[in-house]
Amino acid sequence: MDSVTNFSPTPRGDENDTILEVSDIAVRFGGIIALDGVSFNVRRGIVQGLIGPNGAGKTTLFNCLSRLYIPNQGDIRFQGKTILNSPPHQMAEIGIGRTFQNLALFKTMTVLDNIMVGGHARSRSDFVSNAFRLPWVSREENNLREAAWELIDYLELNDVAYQQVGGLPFGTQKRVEMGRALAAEPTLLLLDEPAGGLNHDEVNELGDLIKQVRDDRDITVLLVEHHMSLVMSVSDQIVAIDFGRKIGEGTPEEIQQNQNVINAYLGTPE
Amino acid sequence: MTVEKMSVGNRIDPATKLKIMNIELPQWRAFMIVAGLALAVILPFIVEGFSVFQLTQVMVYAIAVLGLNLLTGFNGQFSLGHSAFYALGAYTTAIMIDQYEITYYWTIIPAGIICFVGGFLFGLPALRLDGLYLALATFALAVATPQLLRYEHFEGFTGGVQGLDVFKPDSPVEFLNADQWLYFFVLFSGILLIIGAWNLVRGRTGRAMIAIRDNPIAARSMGINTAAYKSLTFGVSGFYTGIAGALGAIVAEFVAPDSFTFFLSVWFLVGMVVGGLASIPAAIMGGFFIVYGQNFSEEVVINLFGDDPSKKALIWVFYGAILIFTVYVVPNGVAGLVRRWVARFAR
Repeated sequence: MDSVTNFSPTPRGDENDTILEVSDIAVRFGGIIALDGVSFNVRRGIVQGLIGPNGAGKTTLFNCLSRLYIPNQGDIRFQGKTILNSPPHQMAEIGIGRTFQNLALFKTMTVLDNIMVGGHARSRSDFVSNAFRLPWVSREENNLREAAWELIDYLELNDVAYQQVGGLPFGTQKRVEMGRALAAEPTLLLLDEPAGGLNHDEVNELGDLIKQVRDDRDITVLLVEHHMSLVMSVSDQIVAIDFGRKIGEGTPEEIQQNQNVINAYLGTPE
Repeated sequence: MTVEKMSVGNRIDPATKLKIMNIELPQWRAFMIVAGLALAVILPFIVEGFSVFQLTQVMVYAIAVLGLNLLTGFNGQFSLGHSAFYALGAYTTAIMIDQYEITYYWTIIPAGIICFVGGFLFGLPALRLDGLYLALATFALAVATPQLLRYEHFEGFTGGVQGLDVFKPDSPVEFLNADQWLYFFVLFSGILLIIGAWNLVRGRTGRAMIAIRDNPIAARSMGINTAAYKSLTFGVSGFYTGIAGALGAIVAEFVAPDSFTFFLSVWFLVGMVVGGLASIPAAIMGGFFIVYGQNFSEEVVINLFGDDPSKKALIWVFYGAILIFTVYVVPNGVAGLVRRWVARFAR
């Protein structure tokens, strides 16, 4: 299946249909330049890989996309509109979901509740309507719960649905985090090193899951990852950055041939 | 391969079912609630007058602890200042009754609303404070409140050092005396507030509150407006504690600055921790501990060492020992103990 994706004559996604435009982003922490004018576009409906050696600025870029950092310069446009004027908590509502590099689950809550929190941006009830548990609140709750159970089935989390996530194995927690992100029904899903800490089989399952998410749920995926074989097998397009700058862009094959990328990973031949 | 797993329609929380010695107890929660309610209704008829007063006080403190628990247990924000909200509620009721001659039951909701506003406004700057710093800021609130109530230029309103008298309402029904009537009035208010709190924490708002406590950054990424939720939770917490204060003023028939010192905040904190964090039934247990914990220590010390005045100091030593025992042996409070017990028998 990988080969079909990679060698299909027309690349997946319409080049004119971009979902995300990152233009000339720069982030400085004091004197340190974490990102130095990075620009790239993400086409709708693809898996876009984002690679780079340690400290290249991947996570910084990621945090700009979920509005945890404010870039010093440049613009980020999602579906044609800048996101830089919206507060972080609105990202989920406009359709940008994310997972975290080192698990950021709600440890004391059950798997079911964690995934239901994911549906927060897709529900409306407030303190007053909840306190009185108005009929429409019950209906909203039932819908959220139904959607969460659908994801629990999808991710095969049935056996642990009522367990606190804090005590679950790492790989399972990663799946819960994916479920939580999917519950927000994102159009763009940001995955920050999802393969970190997973074993070989789990990485393969993750690769299949990412492709399923793209194909079954029409979700565009931006994947930051160190695990090269995973990135190369699931990405339709890849952007490589190093020292805060873009050093290459293209299909996995093109990136594998790209001299700048090879140098960044293996060092420049003297 | 995973068909077996996937086909399960088993979406029932195992904790709703209990199995003890092969006897299934599917409705054990409903059973506990009904039993608790029945006991609450019968108790004031089988105990003496002063005990009825104490039981009323238990419920009042339970409401205050519930308010604090919504803030600290569920939302993770510390407060040593809840005596201030309790005082604000108590004075609102006392002033309305004493100076404007408003019937007592009309004063409860206004007291709650004023404390909601107070809590919300205090919650806004508190957004910038975490953990110990928030504890310190709320401590300042607790320390300042009695002084403000005592302040001579407010005396016309607050009654200054003397405080204000609140007349105990007569019972409107024949078969209840005034104490019993007040007990049922407070019980009824408490039940409504518990239902409201339960609805809050089991729904979208409760999940957001807990999510913020567990991981604020992830909560924000999930679309939760953390600032709004934290300050509104502060407001709701103030609302509950303010209503407790309003009811407490009627029960005590009196308000004065010295009833609302920083120590009252500490009692709420103790009640919350002993009862159990992030649990609603725990608030009732906390209320019992605040009222009876001290008496219990006294009884035990007298039984062990005899009724000797020189042994009085041991009462507090014993009380302290109970607290240390609680945090070491039942770190999640009485409610946590029950939860663990349920988890063992749930199948």
